[in-house]
Parts: sequence; C-alpha cells; structure tokens
Amino acid sequence: MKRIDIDTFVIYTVFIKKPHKTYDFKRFRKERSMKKTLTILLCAILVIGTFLGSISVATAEELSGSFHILAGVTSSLGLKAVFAEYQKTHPNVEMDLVTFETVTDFETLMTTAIASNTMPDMYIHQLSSVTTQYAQEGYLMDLGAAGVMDQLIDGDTSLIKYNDWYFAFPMTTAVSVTLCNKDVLDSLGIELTVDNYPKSMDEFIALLQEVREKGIEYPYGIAGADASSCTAWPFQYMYQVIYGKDPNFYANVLKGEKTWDGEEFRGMFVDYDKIREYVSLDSTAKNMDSLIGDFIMGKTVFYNHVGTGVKNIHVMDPDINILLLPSSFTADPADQTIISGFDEAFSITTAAANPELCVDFLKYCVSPEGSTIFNDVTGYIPTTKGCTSHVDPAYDIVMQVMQAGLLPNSPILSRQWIAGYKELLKSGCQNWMAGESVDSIVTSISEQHTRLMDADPEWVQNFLSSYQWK
Amino acid sequence: MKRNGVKHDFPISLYERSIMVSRSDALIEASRRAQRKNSLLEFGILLPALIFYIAFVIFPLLGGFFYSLTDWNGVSGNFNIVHIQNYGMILKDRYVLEPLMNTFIYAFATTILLNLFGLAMALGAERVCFGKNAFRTLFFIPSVLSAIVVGYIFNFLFSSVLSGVGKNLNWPAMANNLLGDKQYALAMGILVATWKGAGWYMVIYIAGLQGIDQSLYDAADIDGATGWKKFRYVTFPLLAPAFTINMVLAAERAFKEYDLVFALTGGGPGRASELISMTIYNESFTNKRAGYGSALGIVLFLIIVAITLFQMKVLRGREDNARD
Repeated sequence: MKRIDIDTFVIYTVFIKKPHKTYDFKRFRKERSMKKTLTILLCAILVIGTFLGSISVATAEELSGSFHILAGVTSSLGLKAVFAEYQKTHPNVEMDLVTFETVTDFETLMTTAIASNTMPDMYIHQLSSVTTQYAQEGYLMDLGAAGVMDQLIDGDTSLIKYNDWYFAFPMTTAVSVTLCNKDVLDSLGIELTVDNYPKSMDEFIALLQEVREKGIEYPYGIAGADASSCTAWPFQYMYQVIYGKDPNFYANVLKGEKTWDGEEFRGMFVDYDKIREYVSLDSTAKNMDSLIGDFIMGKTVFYNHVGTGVKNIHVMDPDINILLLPSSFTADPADQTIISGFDEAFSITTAAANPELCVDFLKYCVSPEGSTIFNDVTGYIPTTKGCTSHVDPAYDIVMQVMQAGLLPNSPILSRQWIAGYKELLKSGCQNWMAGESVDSIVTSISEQHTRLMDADPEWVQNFLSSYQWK
Repeated sequence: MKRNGVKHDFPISLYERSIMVSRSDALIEASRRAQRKNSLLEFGILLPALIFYIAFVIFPLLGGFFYSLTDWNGVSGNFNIVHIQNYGMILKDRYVLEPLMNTFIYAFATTILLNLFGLAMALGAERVCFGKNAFRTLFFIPSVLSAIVVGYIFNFLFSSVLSGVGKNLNWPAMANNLLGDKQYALAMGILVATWKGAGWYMVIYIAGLQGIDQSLYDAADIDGATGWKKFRYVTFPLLAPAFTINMVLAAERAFKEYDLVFALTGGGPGRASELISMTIYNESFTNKRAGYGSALGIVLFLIIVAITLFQMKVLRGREDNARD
C-alpha cells in the first residue's frame, strides 16, 4: 500500500466518504487526481474564455456591461423605449432601471445611496436645488467634458450648471399650465383659442363662472392630499404675481428683508379664496388619481399642474382631448407670463462603474434619433437639436405662445427653494383648505421656513452668495 | 466502612479508589467536551442570525446614534459633530412635539381598541357552534393585507362610499370626506388600524383561551357563576400572558406606525394626522436634516423601550397575581 497524506485522508473520509475499514487508497488517489485535472481544466477554460471574450470585445470596439439608472414613472417608459433601440447596436449592454414615483422618493433613494456609497450610475430627474447640491458635493460628472451639451437647445441653464460646468442634460421643457378638459368645454360651447383664453385672474374667474352657469358646479379641481397638486396653484401664482412684483422676493426672504407673513404672500390666499368657491368641498383629502378621475369624467374641468401631467391622463383615457393654457393669475393681462423651464434632466454620477458606457448611452438618448423616441413616448416638449418628436395637441396654445414669443418667460424651477419648503407650503395649503385662518397659516409657514433656514445656514449662505440680483 | 452515606461491607483499596477517581475524572472531562461541542454547534447555528442581526439592527442603530450627534444633511460628504444639540432642540420644537402627541394618542387608542376587539372576536369566534374556522379566517384576513393597500382602499372608501353615506345622513364632515377634516383624520387612522390589526391579536387570544382548563368553567358552573363572572374571574385572569404579549406588541407597533397612515392621510390635512415616524422621515429626507431625523429616531426608540419595560413590569405583576 502506498503512503497517503493523513490530512487528505481525514478530510476525505470525514467529509466526503464515511470511513471504511477496508478502504481502497489506490482508487482514492485516482479519483483525487482526476478531480484535480478536471479543476485545472475548468479554470483553464474560464481563463481562456475570458481572455478570448475580452479580445473579441476589444476588436469589435463594442461596449459591454450594465448600468444602473433611476428614473420617474414617465421617464422610465421613455428610457425603456430608447434602450430597446440602443440595445440593437449594443447587444452586450444591460440597463438596470429603478423607477421612483415622487421627488421625495428620489431624494430618499439618493440619500440612502450616498450614505451607503451605492449611488446609481445615472439618473433622470426634475432639476431642483437638491440636484445642484449633488453637483456641489462632487457627486456628478461634467457632461460638458463628455461632449453632449452641444445637443441642447438654447435656454436658461442656471439649474444645470455649477461653477461653469454642466452636471445635467435636460430632456424636456416643462410648462406650468392650467389643464382644461376640452371635450367638456366643447360640449358646453366654449371654444378657447390663443386670442380668447383667459389672460388675467378676473378673466379666469369669469370662465369658471361661465362653466358653472352651464351646469358644472365645481369646475376647478385640487387634489389636496397631493403635494404637487396642492402647491401647483400657489407656485404658479408666486412665479407670476409675487415674482412679477419683486423678482428678488425669495432672496429677500432669505436675507431677512421680507417674510412669508408679509402682504405679498398673504395676498396669494386672498386670490386663492376667489378660486376656492369653484372647488368641490371634498378636495382636501383628494389624491391625484381621484382628481384625474374627476377630470376625465367631466366633474372637474380645470386644474393647475405641470404640462407633463397630460401623459398621465392619457394613460387613463387615451381618447380625452385636453387643452393646456398659460397660467393667468395676474390682475393685469399685460403682466401675464408663461411659466416654463428645463426639466427632467440626465446626470451621470462620479460613482459610475462604467462611465464610458453611461456617456455613450446618454449620447444616444440626446441624439436626434434617441430623443425623438424618448419624447414620443413621454410626450415631453423636446430640448434636443434635431428632435422630431410629436408634441401632444394639448400644447397647441402653449406652443403658439412660446414660439411666437407672445409672453415673457417666468422660469419654472429656476427659483430655488430651501429643502422642505414645498412640504411646508403643502401643509399650509391643506390647513387653509381645511378652514384654518390665513393669519395662522402664513405665520406658521414663516416660522417653519425660519426653522429650515436655521437648520441649514450653509445653504442660505451659498444661495445668497451666488444669487444674481435682478 | 461508610462512604457517601452507604455502608460498604468491604474496604476499597487505594488502587481501586484511584481507578474510580480517574474514571470519574475522565467521564467529567468527556461530558465537558461534549457540552463544549454542543455549545459550539449551537453557536454555529446561531451565528448566521447573529451576523444578520448585528449587520442590520445593531450596526444601523449605532450608526443612527452616531449621526444623531451630527448636523449631517443627508447629502453632503461633510458634517460637524454637534454632540447632544439635536436632542436639546427636540424638546422645544413644536413641529416635532405635535406629531409626538398624535403618536401617543394613536398608540394609546389603537392599543386599547386592538385588544378590545381582538378579545371580543376571539371570544365570539370560540363560542360559535358552526363555521368557527370560517369566522377565524374572516377576522384574520385583514391583518395579512399590506398596510399600504389597506390605506389606499380605505382612502377610496372614505372619498366615495362613506362620502355618499354622509350625504344621505346630511353630515357635512362625512360627506366631504372625513380624512380631509382635521378633527377626524387621526381618529379615522385609528379605526382603520383597528380594522386591519384586530384579527392578529384575536389569534393570540384564541391560543390563550384554548389553554384554559375546561374544569375551571365546570367548577364555576357548579358555583353558579354567570357568563360575565366566568369571564371576569376565570377567563380574563388566565388570559394574562396573552394580554401581556398583545398589549406590548400593540403599543410597540403603534409607535412605529408609518405606512398605513401615510397611505390613508399622508399625515394631513396639514399635520393633523402626522405621526412621529413621518416626522422622522420628513426631517431626514425632505428637510435634509438627517442628523436631526436620526436624533428623533433614537428618541422614538427610547420611548418604545421605556413603554415596553413599563408595560412588562405592570403586566407581568398582573400575571403573577393571576397565578396566585
């Protein structure tokens, strides 16, 4: 009998085979050597396979791998369509898409990702002060250096630039509007054109009254439980009326020269009260789906939101005809503005595992071909050169106004707010809808805003130091 | 010769004694070895769970405590250590104290109602002659549903079905959706939580009821005890362990409640139904005050621990009394 290493024997007998008094060591050695040979062969195949694979990738100069991207619901649909096309020429690329629903969901995902060092490779999200903060913290790549910014049409770039470098590529121009159910208006014999649509608060109220007289008791809708819907009208009012009177309003608030309980902001609730008469009494707890449901059924004819909401309505009712109108909340029609600005922008994070791949995909997304697919699916107003996507007819009046330059632009989202402001405005509006007095609401908003400023003095300082006074 | 209290007729030689001692030493050693091996095995079995517990509970808890001592905004890579400043701020922050008060009201009410309905359902389901299992299943189903789903379903019910009922009853608050009324929003959250959770507590009470010896009821019958007296003097005292578990769990869960009320009211209108868990989320993620949010999380943890210990002390005492 040949000598055998005792450790091997023990391992073999204890873990692989039960000990046996008349064990055949010759067979054991043979089996062991066979296993060794097989293992070496397998390793060799793997190494050679990887080597050959890398050669084939290199020779074809084809990108491979996967990238992890975050996107909102509508943008996700667009991304899937664009990626399906992209994959035809890049079969070895995979997209790991995570869809979020709200701005808060996105910010929560990002905060946890930052804390755990697991940031996504890319994201497409609404531009805001928070995305600028990501750029300030060095989490985002310079897209100018990546050579994609040439594709962007002219526009206000204040929210996509930091220290003269671009950290985001916007895929749409968002317009804050009044959405109208055109089918209901047609049935009531009301035709709105670029000439006769309401251009001031009084004209809008008159339109609401006309619709009421023709049989719809509560023609204006608010989803009080939804932060975006609840704050849509106040934000539009602020952009048009408050900023119209004082373009530096927010900077003055941050500087301590103006307050939220001052006359300007108080005045907003006076005007909101004029509209409240046309809002159904069950609106405080209404969510966005219920509001859209009411809109489709014709119980509600008007509501204020961002124009991209058209897509969500068409998901529920593809046949409905919608009309978007520029907001009309100023007292004088001459002061009316159109509220629009770049929105839903791509960014690549500095944590991207495969930045070349991300840049390549982004280049495809912003190319005439990619952006046409993207905007056709999302229904967004395109921002890329050469894009030939179809814009929803709902935008007819808005597009005429924008293209003819009939109204000055009041940039949406370019107004940066301290983190948490939207939430406290939502609470204030809900309380107001629930019957709380204007005094109590503006005092509370003012107090809470000061609380947010005290919590983040650095943000206030940064805002004021980089603010361009108008 | 007498050894270990036993009288031996023959003496044991030193040699024999030494053999016996060495044998018993060997036995003790072997038994210790076996014990050690068992302990190692048990530890090995426990190890994966322990690793997960440390990784997903202890580590985040310590991390949360660390962040609670900072002014981290949840985005920046930099932050300052502010020691206990965040904790000091909580005490005078009315935008935190209001949701905290809501949470106490919510926890108090749901703990009482869940146990009341859970017990009533358990007694009822045990007494019915037919369809006992059907009733149990029916009562238990809501507790296996997702809180988010229940929240959205009731949101729909309040805005449509109950709104219609309110219109017929000419009750404006109900007609215009009770969830949109600051007076009723939190109360509606409590009711929906009770509807959803009572079945779970019922199961624990059923287990407790089944453990009560029938002979006690027979003896009570002989003594002429009525239904209420049997419940008061037999059933309820002997349900003490189930009662302890249910009270502790109901309170602890209520303090941590988030999803159901979020789906139902979103904390509104205004902040009328906002619970502290929502405030923690809002402060951490919406207001970008992750350090402050972490401090709130730690405070909530301490509140839950204190209330649980208090409940355990009081209810365990009651259990002892019941046993006596």
